[in-house]
Parts: sequence; C-alpha cells; structure tokens
Amino acid sequence: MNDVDLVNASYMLTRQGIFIVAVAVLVLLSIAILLSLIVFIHHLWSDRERRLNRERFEGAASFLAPFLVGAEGELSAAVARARSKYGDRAVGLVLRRARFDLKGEVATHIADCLLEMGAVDELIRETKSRRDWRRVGGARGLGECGGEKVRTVLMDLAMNDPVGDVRRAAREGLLAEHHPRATQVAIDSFLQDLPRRAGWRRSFYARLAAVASTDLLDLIRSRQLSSGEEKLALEALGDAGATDALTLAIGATRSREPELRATGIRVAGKLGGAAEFPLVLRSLEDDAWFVRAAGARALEWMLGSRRLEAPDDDTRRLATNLLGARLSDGSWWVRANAARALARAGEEGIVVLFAAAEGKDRYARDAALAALAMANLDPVRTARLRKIAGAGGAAEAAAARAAALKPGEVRA
Amino acid sequence: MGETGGRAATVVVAEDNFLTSHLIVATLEKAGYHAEAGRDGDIVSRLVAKLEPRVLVINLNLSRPSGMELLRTLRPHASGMRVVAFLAPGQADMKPQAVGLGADVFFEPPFDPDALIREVARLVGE
Repeated sequence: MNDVDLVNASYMLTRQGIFIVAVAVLVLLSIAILLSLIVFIHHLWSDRERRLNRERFEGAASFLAPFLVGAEGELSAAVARARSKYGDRAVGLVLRRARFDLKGEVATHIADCLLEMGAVDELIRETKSRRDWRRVGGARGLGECGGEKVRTVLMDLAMNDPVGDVRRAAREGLLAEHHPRATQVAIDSFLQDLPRRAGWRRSFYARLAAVASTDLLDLIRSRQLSSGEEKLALEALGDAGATDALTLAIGATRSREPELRATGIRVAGKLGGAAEFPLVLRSLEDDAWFVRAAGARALEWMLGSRRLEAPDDDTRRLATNLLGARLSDGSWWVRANAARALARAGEEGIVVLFAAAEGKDRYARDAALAALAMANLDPVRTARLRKIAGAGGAAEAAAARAAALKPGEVRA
Repeated sequence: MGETGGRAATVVVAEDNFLTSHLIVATLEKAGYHAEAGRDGDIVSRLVAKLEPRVLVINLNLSRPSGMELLRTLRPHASGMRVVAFLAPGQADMKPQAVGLGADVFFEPPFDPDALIREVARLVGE
C-alpha cells in the first residue's frame, strides 16, 4: 500500500468515525430530549392531579362541613352525594380529618360512614402490604377512621408488627379511640418498645394524659417507668390538667433529685391552688437554678390562672418581692421566667418590672423589657416602655421584642 | 342563640387549616352567629377591623404570623373582643401568655361542636 492509499484509508476511517460519533450524539440528544419531555409531561400531569385533588378535597370539605357539625340533615345521605360529586378519595380524606377534629356523637357517625363507603377495608388491605411505608400509611389512616373493626386491626399491629413506625402509628390510633381495651393495648405496646426519641415518648404521654389520665397515673405509680420517663409522664398530666396527679407532684417536690423537684414544682403550679403557693414560693430559693426557674414558671401559671382565686395581699406581696429579687439571678432562665411571672402579678408586678427596666442591672433590665413587651399595658405605660426601649438603643428594643415573641421557647 | 339585641353576634375565625376553619364556621352558623374565617394574619386583621366581632376564635399555632403575635397585634384595637383559643395537645405551656393577651377559653382538638357553641354563647353574654 502506497502513501496515497494510506491517506485515503485514513480519510475514510476518519469520515466513518465522524459519522458514527455524529449518529451517537444525535441518538443521545434524542434520548435526552425524549426523557426531558417525559419528565416535563409527568410534572404537568402530577401538578394537575395535585391541583384537582386539592380542589376536590376543598369542595368536599365545604359541602360536608355543615352536615358534619349536625347543622343540616342526614350525614350519610350527604356523604353519598359528595362521593358522586368529588370522588371517594376526597370524601374519605375529609371524613378522616374531620374525625380527628371533632368529638362527640358526630365522631361515631363519621366512623360509620367511613366503614360504609369501604375506606376502612381499603386501609386494612394497606396494613397487610409487604412494604413498610404502606403499612405505616394504612395504620395512620385507620387511626383516623376509628370504630370496632379498626380497633381489632390496630391492636394487632401495635403488638405484633415488626416495624417500629407501624407500631407507633397503631398506638396513636388506639389512643384516639377513647376505649379502655384499646388504651391498655397502646400502653402495653409502648412499654414493650419505648421509642428512642424523647419527642415521641412525650407525645405518647401527652395523648395518654388527654384521653386516660387515670391510666397514666396508675402507670407512674406501678413503678414500671424510669425516673426520666416518670418526669415526662408527670409533665403530661400537668399539661392535661389532671388534678389527681397533684399529690404525686407535691411528693416529687420533696425529692433529692433536683430535676424531679423542678418537674414537681411545674406540675404543682399547673394543678395546684392557694394551698400550693408557699411550696412554690420556697422553690424560688432552691440551690438548683432550674428548680428556681421552674418555681418562677409555676408562679406565672398560678398568678395568671383564672381557675384560681386571687392570692391574698400578703402572699401576692411576698411573691412579688421574691420574684423581683430573682430578676438579678445568675441564670437567664430564672430572670426571664421571674419577669414573666411579675407581668401576671397585677399592678405591683408591673411597678417592679418598670423599676428593673429603668434600673442599672443590665440583665434584670433585659428580662423586664422582654416581659413588659408582652404585657397588656395601658397607652401611657406603652409609651413609657417605648421610651425606655428606645433610650437603650434599637438593638435592645429588638432583643426585647424578639425574646417576647417566642412564647413556646421560654420553658425551664 | 347567636343573637344579641336582635341581630346575630359576629365571630371571626383565625384558622389556616381549610377543613377546621369550615367546621368552626359551620358550627357557629348553625347556632345563629355570623361567622367569617381568615386563613392568615392580614385577612384576620382586616376582618376584625371591618366587622368588630364580639368573639375571635383563633388557632394559636397559626403560622406567619404566629397566633400569639396576631393576638398581641389585635388586642389594642379590639379591647371588648372575647377570645377562644385553640391549642394542640401538650401546648398548655402557652396558656399563661395567651391569658395575658386576653384569651378567655381554650380548646384542644378534637373539639365538641356543642361545647364550642356553649362557650361562645357564654362569652357574648347569652
């Protein structure tokens, strides 16, 4: 082969190569365009589905709401009409959510409607799936449906499902049933595998305290819970206003363990009456800062509660003096809680707060400003507060406002 | 029920959950009140300014602004307005502050529609 042939062959190969590469690029480009098109169409379609589902849900909710609260006629007839207009899925969802929102006789009617329209059977099928996430969804959905058939399935799932998320969803559903046997199975399941996250455990105690406070009280007394769990359970009883737990809370305030003393004080503040004032006032001088913080928080409850008779003048004065002294405490939590309690202590408390806000102790001033920013002040005092906050600089005013606008966070 | 001085008492509902707000409005309308719902702070503020309601039913877990902040903003402009506050279970810690901002009654889901009607009737003095 001479040089010219070699050049020709090489040229042909290069042309062939370019052709192959070009074809490959074209094919890849077409695939990419096709895939993009598929993704785009899928996106459009799912977006449309979501919008339609939302519209159906909102339509069914608006239509069914008056029937659900018993304002207009027969619920089951309305449900039949809604199903033909908005579809089973939207109506089932509305009924399940409504059962979560409402209690009383209507909850039983809703459970009957869900059973009648086959929503319960469909969810039971989901709980038999091999996929965990489907069983979790099924258990959650069943918890919203309620009724005897649902209870049987949830009790089985709560005790025997191999996946923790399914057991937890089933337990929550059982607690929503307000049924003694269902509640007992939920407790047994909970004790069988305590969830690792404190938030989940707290949520379980809160639900249990709301539906069956006596059962939770018995659980604490049975000594099956560790000290840490006992504190969470006792807090839940306090939040639920379960006055039966007051004796237990008072007992906890005598504990050597400061964390348990703090819990006892907080719960005594929520559940106690005039007789508990001395106990709570004493806690303001405890060695542990978080017990003092709990004492101030308890006083905020007691002084602001409409449930209690107002304390007599001597007690109120003593409370105001002790809380005023706590505005200079070394702990931020104690200062903040004391300031908030003073804001509930009537005229004397407000006077102490303004004195601190205009005083030289910077820490007391910050706490007082934050509490005053949230207090219900008359226009003259509001103007005075603005002037003080303004004189302290924009940063201080903003800090006072920010601190005041986070109600859920000040908890010790 | 629901009428004071010959006309229906007005209730504004501040709730961002679509179904819950419809259930509360339907409950109140069933009892003869004139109820209107707002799903965010701006709408609720406008409704309160326009309708001067006797009662505000508010979910303290509203987002942007929070129910508590909305209550604080509304309070100076509606001193005679009574407040029914909805809380989630386990949020009892918010109660003292809400009482300080004028909350009169608290409800937790699930709520009994008849109990809500009774409380609103008590608050409007019927």
